[in-house]
Amino acid sequence: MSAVVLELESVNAFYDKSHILKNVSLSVGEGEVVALLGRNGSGRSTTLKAVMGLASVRSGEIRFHGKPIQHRPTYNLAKLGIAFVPEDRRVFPNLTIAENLRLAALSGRKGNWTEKRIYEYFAVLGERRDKLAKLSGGEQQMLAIARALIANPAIILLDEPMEGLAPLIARNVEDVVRRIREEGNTILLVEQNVEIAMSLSDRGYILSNGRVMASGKIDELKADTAAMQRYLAV
Amino acid sequence: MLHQIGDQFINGLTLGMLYILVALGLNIILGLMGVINFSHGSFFMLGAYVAYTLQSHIGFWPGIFCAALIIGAFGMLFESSLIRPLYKRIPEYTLLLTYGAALIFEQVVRRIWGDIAVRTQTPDYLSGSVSFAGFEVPIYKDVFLVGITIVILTGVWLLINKTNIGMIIRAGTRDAEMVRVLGINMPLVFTFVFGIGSFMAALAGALAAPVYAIIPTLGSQWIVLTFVIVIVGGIGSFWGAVVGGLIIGVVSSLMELVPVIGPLSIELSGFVIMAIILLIRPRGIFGVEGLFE
Repeated sequence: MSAVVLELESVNAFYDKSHILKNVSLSVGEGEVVALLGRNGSGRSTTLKAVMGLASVRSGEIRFHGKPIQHRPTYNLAKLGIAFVPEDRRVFPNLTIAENLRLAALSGRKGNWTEKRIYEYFAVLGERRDKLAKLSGGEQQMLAIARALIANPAIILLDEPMEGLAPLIARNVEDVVRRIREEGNTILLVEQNVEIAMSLSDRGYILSNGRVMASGKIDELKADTAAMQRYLAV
Repeated sequence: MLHQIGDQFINGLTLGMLYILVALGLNIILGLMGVINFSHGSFFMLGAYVAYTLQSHIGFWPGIFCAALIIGAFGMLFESSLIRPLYKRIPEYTLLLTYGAALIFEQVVRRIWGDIAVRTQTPDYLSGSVSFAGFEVPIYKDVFLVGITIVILTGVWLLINKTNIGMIIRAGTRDAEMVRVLGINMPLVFTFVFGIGSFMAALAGALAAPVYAIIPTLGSQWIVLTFVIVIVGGIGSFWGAVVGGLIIGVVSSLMELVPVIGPLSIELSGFVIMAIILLIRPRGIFGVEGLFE
């Protein structure tokens, strides 16, 4: 496997008193797309939030390029090269599209992704760059992904990018994810649709009730019909 | 009668300008950090007192600006040492802390400067008045004060709308956590913004000192009205503070002419306007729906 970018080792994470992640261990190598699979409430999104310091990690270790990061403040992680695209997108509707991007670029790293390239890549954003980001669900998702890319991150944590979108729009977002994957970006992906998630990923982890129940290359997981049926109902 | 109304209108504009300066800082702090800062009125009062003391040593203008700077720096210290540890708790904690601090500031002021009102002197060249359309307009109060407030407000508008820090503040008002996720050191931004807010309140106090009597209860008088302005204008909104401040300033000034309610006009008109706004548009004139949901 290529160099490990992100690694979780026996992570236990909490929301207040609720114990959500139980001894979760996983890793994401450079250039890999890794899917977190599981039903609602299995701890997939919490895994991403734990990495970002948005869920409290009480034990275990989260490493980025081999260095522990779980005690670093959230704002520090973007500077290191970790970008998070949350499930609810959270674009700033009171800022213009350009400002949304510039805000993310402030602490981001220098690299291939510039504002100009983002507008070429996402034409819909380029056309309306100076307008307030009062956007449809699909456009919000494009902006949320673009906001992650412009920071030239080492890894993108992508939480349910197709969630709540009309099928045609979801297809567009899927195409975008596929394209950024083909460019060699490292992604830790949470996606409800198992089929899409598997088609986009190199490896996967199946979570249930906050524990990793199975993991491996996508083909290996597909072959594990018992786990697929039991934890993903497919 | 018409002349009186005109006089009161101009008075109200001037008062409204000072309200805007104080309310704007309070509003940005509330919108960005969710801190219901009951000490904000104290910073206004402290600005006036510190300017009063400094001016006898270093002169009128240096006194005003040094007082604002000192209180701005004090505000940053206050936020970073006392308020910061409370951000993770419910807003009532910071409300109680800042309210308690306001009571302490008032007592400290009584010990240092006494209970009796003090007033600073404007320089001679600003102390006269000019005739304008049949009105005698005091230069300092109704010309200079209004002018400098417009300059300061323009500066704040540019800061908020044309700079990176302003972009961070606007984004943070909507979703401070997401701004952190994007890599911005929000605790530092919070301290900076608290400092700016305190600076503006103190500046307003120092500028008001030659016009209004400075007394230890000035802080508690102003804070209530400033909150009214924020609610009327809308939390987190620049134009909300501006329009809210002018409305409250002008209406309360005009109401002074009405028999019986005259002496109560400031508080009374503030609360009546607030009640009307809360009934017809609870988010305030320029407020955003669901900001704190």
